[in-house]
Amino acid sequence: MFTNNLNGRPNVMLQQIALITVLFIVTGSAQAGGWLRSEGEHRYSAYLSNSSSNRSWDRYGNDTVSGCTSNVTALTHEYEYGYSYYRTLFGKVNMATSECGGDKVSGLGDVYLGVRGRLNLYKNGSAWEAILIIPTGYDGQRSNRLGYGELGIELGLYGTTKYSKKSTFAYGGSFRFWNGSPSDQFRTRASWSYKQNKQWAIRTSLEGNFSLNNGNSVTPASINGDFESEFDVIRGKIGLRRQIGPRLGLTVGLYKNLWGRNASQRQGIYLNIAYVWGRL
Amino acid sequence: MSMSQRKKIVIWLGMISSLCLWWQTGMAQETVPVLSVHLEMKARDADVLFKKDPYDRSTFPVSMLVDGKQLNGRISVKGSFSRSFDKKSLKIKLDKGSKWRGQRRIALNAMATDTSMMREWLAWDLIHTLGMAAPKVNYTQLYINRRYIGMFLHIEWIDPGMLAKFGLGDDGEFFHPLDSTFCGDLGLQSVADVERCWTKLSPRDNDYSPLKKLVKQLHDVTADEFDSFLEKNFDVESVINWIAVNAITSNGDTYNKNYFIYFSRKKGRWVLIPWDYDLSFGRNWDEFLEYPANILNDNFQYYYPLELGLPNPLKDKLLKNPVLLERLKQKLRGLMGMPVEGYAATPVWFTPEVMHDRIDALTSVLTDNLNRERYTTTNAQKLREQASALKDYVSFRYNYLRKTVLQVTNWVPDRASIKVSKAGETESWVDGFGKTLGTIQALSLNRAAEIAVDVERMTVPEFLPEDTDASRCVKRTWFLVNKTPFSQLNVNLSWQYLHENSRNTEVGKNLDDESKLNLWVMDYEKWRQLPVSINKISNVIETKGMDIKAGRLYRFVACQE
Repeated sequence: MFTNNLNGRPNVMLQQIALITVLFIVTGSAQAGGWLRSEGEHRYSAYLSNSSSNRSWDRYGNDTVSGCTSNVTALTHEYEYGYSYYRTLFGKVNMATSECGGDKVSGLGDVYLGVRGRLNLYKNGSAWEAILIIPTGYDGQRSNRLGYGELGIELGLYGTTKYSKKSTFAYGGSFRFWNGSPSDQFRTRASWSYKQNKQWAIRTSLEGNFSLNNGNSVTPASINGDFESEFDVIRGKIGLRRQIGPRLGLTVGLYKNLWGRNASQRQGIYLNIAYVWGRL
Repeated sequence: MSMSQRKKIVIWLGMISSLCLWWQTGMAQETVPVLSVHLEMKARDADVLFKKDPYDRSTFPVSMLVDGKQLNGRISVKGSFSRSFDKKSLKIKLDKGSKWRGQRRIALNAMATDTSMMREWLAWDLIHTLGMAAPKVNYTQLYINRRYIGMFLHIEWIDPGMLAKFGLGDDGEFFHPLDSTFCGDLGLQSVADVERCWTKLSPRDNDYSPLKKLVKQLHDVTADEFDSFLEKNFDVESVINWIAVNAITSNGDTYNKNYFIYFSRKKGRWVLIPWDYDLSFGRNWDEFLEYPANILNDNFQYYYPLELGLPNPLKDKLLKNPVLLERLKQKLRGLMGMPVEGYAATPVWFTPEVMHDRIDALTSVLTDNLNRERYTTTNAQKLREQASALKDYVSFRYNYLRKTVLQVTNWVPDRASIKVSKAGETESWVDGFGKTLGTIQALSLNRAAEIAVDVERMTVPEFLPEDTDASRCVKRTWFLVNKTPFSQLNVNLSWQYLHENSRNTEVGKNLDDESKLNLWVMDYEKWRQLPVSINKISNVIETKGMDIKAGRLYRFVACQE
């Protein structure tokens, strides 16, 4: 719940807004959702992003100047394995360096372990997903941090609609439940991709994170932030994908936070490399 | 001589003549062996296996029931673009220690791309007839959980173990051109980025040096030296047989893919193993259409020369070498039942009579349980139409090879003359380029008659029946004249037209259903419609019981109403 007035601590607040957004950045999966791997198939992807921000949206969604320029570089390693036709197991881990106003933190973020199952027995592209979020040893109490430092569970549903051989619409949403102070969240995503040919494709997406506003204040001694557990943001992304042979895919793109509440007006670039092996 | 002795002699003569007939026709009395495979798997898996996303590569647990024993393994869908058909080709990999017919891996080909379900079997039958190192192939009825799924083609798994059965050893270097990159043509560029064009099947290492060395040698050797080069480095028969099989089946979907090449350490020579003959026997790839119509279409051809297909030094230099070319021709002569000079005779395999009987036998086997197939891509009517087109292909290809390769007479296009002297016999008008213009079968005749045929091809007919839309006509006119005075015949006639691909075609632009073609004849300046049967695959229009009088010129056109 939003209980504290932030007027007296603007720098801390804005720094915190920027850093909380880091959580969204570093946990933004390169390719989660409705796709299951063939049984015995493996996929590894590395998602590298760099973003910066010097403006924010306050708790009411008003544009404000941040007290520092935040810069975040994040790398997400993700591995998926087709355990059977019906189940795909996956795990990912985030590594990030986050800096704002001389306050810098680097290291491992949360680890995600998940399972994905089919909603449609015959068709790929629609799935349920369950994820366990496990914090690593970072300091979850400091203002500049790499995660909440709490266990979480995420449950989601994802779907895909193919409009033609070239055009695909993917959509889905999930609830992320946190142990402890952070507010639970509803996360959603809609993307449209267009395959120009076997090699090239363009992909645009809108991603949203909305707090369910059921978080508690964290210990004031740590950062005096009532907001880190609650933030909303809508992000737009556009990327160009190059498929190199049947196994390797490369995507480069831009993203920008389009609207938010307690979130930084962040923009950045990303690079995603994915390699598939096994049952090709 | 007593009655009983006479009876014995008659019986013996009968038996001997039957034996001779069987020897001549080969397949006519031969039954086509059919295997059965019974599988058990979870009902959900069995359902999903055929209905899932075609490009999913998952495997599922399966048990194979063989002589009361249960052999466990995993089953998956195999193949590339054929995966998108309802009837999937399957691969079973049995657990270690389990074998069926001597192998752990079992391939069941659905034959979905070929609605005749005969082309692969026929090609492999030819390959076996030639004694090539090749997999055993059998039609196989597949049952899953005691339910009939359909007729498949079991093709023995090709690996060094299979090749060892042919005395080639299992320790050789085994290569296969990659299907997806179309560049494994044994040319220099095929080994420039070798793993883009080739896969090494055995031993499982990345040493492509034997293949690279071979490619360099193939590039350097001249066509004149090619016979001695092949003798030294290859199982020559395997190469000649490969070219012969591709020539007989008119298979151009090879030379840069769809074959295996094995260096037998035991023999110290390379051996060719053919592969994939679904796009053969008249079926034709269409370079002007998008997938899947480029492969699945009613195109038809039988008149490609021995050089058909993409370049490959083995083929190209063999055809330029007089010694090897003569060996190839003698091989073809043998297969086509013509006298062979200077070489061991090859079993007769490719005459219209033998092949038509063979196709009839296969039709009988394949139509038997067709309506029980769970995931069928054909039906009895389609299969019979395909069988008829296959017979047409055989007759036309036989004529073509005789005329242009083995007994070259003249190079006059679009006209031919034949003497019809006996009722019941079928004769073809074959022009100087080996094209079959049409066929005639006299039902009755008062004397032998010379019948000449001339065609105007690739042209909308100059004259048409009244109110006929020219764009719905076949762009060909057939002219027939009976040159023998006082002769009179009652005949079955069939005409062939061209539809090689979507561009090189005589099918009018608004002719949307060839099965609805009508055949018209102009006789004494009056158009008369004739009863017809059409095979839209082989592009044949047949009419029965037509009277032909001496000295008369008949003009034929075919149009859709």
